Amino acid sequence: MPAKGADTQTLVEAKVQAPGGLAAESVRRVLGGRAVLDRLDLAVPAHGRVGIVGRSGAGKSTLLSLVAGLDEPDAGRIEIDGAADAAGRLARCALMPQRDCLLPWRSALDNAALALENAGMPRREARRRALPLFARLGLAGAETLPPAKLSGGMRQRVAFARTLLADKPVLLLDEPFGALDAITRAELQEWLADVLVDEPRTVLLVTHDVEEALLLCDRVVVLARGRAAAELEVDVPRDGPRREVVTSAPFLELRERALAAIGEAREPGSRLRNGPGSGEA
Amino acid sequence: MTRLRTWWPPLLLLGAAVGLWQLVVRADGVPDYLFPAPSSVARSLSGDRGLLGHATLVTVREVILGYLLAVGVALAIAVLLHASTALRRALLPLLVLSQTIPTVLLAPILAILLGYGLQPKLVVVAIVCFFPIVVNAVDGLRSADPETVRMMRTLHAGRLAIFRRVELPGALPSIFSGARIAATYAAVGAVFAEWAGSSAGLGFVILQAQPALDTARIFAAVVILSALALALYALVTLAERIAVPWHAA
Repeated sequence: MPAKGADTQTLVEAKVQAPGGLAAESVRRVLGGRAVLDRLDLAVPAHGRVGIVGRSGAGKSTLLSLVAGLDEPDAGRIEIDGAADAAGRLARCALMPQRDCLLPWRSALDNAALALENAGMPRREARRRALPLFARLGLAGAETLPPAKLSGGMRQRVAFARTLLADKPVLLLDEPFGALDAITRAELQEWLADVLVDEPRTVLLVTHDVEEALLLCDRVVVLARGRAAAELEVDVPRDGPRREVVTSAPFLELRERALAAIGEAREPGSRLRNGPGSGEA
Repeated sequence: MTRLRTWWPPLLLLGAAVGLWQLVVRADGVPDYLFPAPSSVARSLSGDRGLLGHATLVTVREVILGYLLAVGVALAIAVLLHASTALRRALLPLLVLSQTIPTVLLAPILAILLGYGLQPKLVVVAIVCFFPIVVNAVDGLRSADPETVRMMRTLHAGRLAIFRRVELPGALPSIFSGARIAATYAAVGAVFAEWAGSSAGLGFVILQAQPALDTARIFAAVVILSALALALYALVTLAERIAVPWHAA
């Protein structure tokens, strides 16, 4: 089915007060003669947080491009709050790419305020508007620094502030902490979890780090052979200190199931076998 | 100072070459009209300073105005070529072709068309200088990081916002590379133009000194032309330091 046009049919019931409900149905995308995504279904309620895990080349980044409206599926449809056309999706998503992509000729604050300026706001006004969030994200004092003077963790915070200030209902995070060292990464994962409590958004988090997905998301989707090979509800308690959470028995069990689902995707003979996680609703 | 460390080797070499030149010419008794010794060139530089000074002012004007014209036209062309793929495909090969026409031949035609005044000089200098700026600017504009552009599109950025905030600032180092190369051509372009028809300038001085066999004066003019090119190069480098501070860091 063509995904173009202002179709009135909606696949999800968007919550009235919170925009950002997202649905993908039978999505297929062929790149370089290979079906990177094939018959992919995905539904995320508004303010839902879904982690996308899978091996390299499983189509994680392709999925984000399609959802963002930067790319169109060859078949199937993707819609956000009823908008199924690329322009409509583009208007509703903000992308945080793998690298921070900070512009070296802009100060940290001006990088964060980029979306406001793009929307036509004068620079002075954009800065004024970005400032409170900047401080709230733990970036106070870094406003005038060029990106080259920021640590890796600070750069990711600025990149996230920039994404948030686009004021879009859906955030697409493509391995946001992949380039950080383990300690900084853990720090930023906690930080992001806190920020998302204050600033709830619909989040698609692509990561190769299963633990990260389980800590930050309410559902984890294992992408393999072009579709959602397994879905796991994250229903374990995550309130305590991180070290206790990640070593708790339910968390470890969930982690095992996710890893098993990813591992299974590798074996060529395992196509029809039902793994421990693949039957999960 | 580190600046001094990078400057002394070429200066030393240049000094040695000039010294050797002086020794050989004087030892062999080569007459000045055949090949003047550095000391004769220096004498001409100071003795003819009224004449050379006036000629230098004329040529400096041509060089600077022509160079600015080149930068302006080159950037406009580069932006057009960047904005339209069709235009780039059609026009870029023609621009390359235009560079195969020797400027020495273009200059007299322009002198016939535009007269002996300032105009044809500016055009010749601009023609000599614009090409490296266009090529480097187009490359620079196209080299914007695709991931950053994708991200920008999700941050409310249209074509113009992406150009202003990502592509153009990112292209500045390339643009300045082209501008620095062009800076070394400008003085030569002005001399070509003056040879094709003029009544003043360093090229005119050279033209007049030739039949008079005043070779020392020709060399003096050449020394000034080199100094001009170097000064323009230094100015452009300085402008780059100011405009692209993030690149040096």
